[in-house]
Amino acid sequence: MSTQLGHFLAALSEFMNFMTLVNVLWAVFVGIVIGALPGLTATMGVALLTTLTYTMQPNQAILVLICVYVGAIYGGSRSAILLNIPGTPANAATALDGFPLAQQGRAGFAMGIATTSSAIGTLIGILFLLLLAPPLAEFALKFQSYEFFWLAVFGIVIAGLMCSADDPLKGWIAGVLGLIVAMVGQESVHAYDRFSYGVTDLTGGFNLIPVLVGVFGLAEVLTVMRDPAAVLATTRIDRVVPSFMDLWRYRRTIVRSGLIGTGVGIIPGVGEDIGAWISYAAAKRRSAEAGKFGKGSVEGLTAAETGNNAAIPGAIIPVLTLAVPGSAPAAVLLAAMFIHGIRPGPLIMQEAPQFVYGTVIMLLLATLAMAFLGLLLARPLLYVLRVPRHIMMPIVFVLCVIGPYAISQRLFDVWVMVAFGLIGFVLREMKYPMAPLVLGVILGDILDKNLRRALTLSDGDLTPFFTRPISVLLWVTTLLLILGSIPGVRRMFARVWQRSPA
Amino acid sequence: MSAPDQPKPALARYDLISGIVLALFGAFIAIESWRMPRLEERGIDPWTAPGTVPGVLGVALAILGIVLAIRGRGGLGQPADIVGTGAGRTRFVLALALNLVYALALIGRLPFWLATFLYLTAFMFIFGLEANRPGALMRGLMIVIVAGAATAAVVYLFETLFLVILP
Repeated sequence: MSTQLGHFLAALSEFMNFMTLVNVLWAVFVGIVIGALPGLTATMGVALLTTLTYTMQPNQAILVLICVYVGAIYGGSRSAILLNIPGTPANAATALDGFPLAQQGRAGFAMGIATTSSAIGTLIGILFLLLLAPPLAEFALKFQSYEFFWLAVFGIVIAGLMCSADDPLKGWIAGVLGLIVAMVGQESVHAYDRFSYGVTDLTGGFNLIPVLVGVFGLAEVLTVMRDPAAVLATTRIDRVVPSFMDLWRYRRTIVRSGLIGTGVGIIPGVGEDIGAWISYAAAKRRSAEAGKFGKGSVEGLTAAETGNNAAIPGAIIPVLTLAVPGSAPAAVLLAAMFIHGIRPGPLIMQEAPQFVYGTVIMLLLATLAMAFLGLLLARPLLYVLRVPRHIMMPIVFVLCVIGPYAISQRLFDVWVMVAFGLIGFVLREMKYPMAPLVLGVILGDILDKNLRRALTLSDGDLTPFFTRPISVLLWVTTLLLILGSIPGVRRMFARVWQRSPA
Repeated sequence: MSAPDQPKPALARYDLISGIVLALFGAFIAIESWRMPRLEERGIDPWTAPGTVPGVLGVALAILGIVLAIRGRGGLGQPADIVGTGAGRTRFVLALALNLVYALALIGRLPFWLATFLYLTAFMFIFGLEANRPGALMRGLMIVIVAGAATAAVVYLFETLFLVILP
């Protein structure tokens, strides 16, 4: 216990300087702006800032990224409330009740609720990060190659399932496509060149950042330009800071949404947007005022914004303990950690426990700054939203071009960004979720390496894959998930349950 | 994200076509993986050959693609327009063209600040024409100033402040 406290204090001392304060403030501000602007998502924001903070010292760099992450997921509520356009997918549920509230002249109130809900949601998530990360890392130490292989498979299956609930097939296709993308390049076990067809640039495979910036950047820019321009609901902002009673009334919703959000965040690949939706749906089901949902329900707004922000620390938990991202922005965060020489994974509690506590501190600082700036800057941010998109979008694209190039100085990465931007646009129009694709690109290497390592360990024997205890848990769950989503199987079970005596 | 302006018509036809395309792609991946050397001469376990995982993935994709195509076989009616209609389509094509020219042709060939300035000016000018505001000359001048300021800001921010190398 005292050693943990020692680590916590050591981490704290690393952040007690002026640089930290400066970075937190500007990074959260930038995050809020990025989140508020339609066309820029949290994933994009974190990806772009990864390139910007490339030359920064690791602690400060990750701090900036976490601040942008928290700021962006919150910032999207601005445009959701004022423009009926979620600034990021995580704020789609916020628009449902936020925009009607704005139309009723209560935009300021809505934004205040969104701010405090987001802050509380993040705090709940942080609490779980603090409580769960160390024991989870300990548990993950038992993971060998077999378990990591199944974890990768499980991640893709559940991400595909949850990210497009009505059509898991498309989610899985996106996941498999992502995995295939990760197969390009020199593989790590025998150094054989796969799918590069003599193109030297391809031997390194596709870098995550260009793929991400393309899919979430260029595709988004094209979508925004194609759709009609947005119109502000109102320019009148009433009182912003909510009263304590406003929040206390919905305390159960807040806690429930915080728990749901964190839990959803922990699931690999399933992130803030799903956290918001499930929290919203749960709140609606249990609400005494269910009829108001969709017409300006404060409870709905609270549930959505608490849920999506709680998912942030939740998504960071698997990043730290398993090196598996819990959401798309967390995926970029993971990549950034590797770039800065940090090695997340089960060994983190032994090699760098300070970093885990450091992450907690970073999240706390980000939350404080977010609440502070959010309440303070309600009116000024209005001006940001009024910048016409034909000025904003080309600037965003310029950043999309800089981003991929900044990491490796290859124009090839810019071309990759363009290619995946086009592919991403087409896929999204055909209703393919992008989170499983991103997860696939990251997990592809993990899946491949661990499968082959495990087979080498077991001398080609497949039995351990199906008999080791943790593996059993993983593959049985995966199988159940797949079977459960096939309509035919569900019907069969429904009939069986109906026939058995009540 | 985008405003929900028009309802998305059934995408069944696209599912059928894309299902077939994905199935073919999956088959291609599987076949290419099969053709990868087994590296028996190095005495490795056959399961760890380079082509194992991509092969399985290719087969998986092919199966998923076939399922998708089968599901979509009913919808051979009016295809939904992915790139929008009318004004939306024009905007899309213009934006795409400008972006491609910038990213593929200008960047790398021209100095970064010049390429960016030209792109920003062109983009803002072409799309600025859409908004009906009087005073074309003033607007043109404003656009040049904004584009110039944005270029300068980006270059300063990235190169000087954050020490990032620009293309």
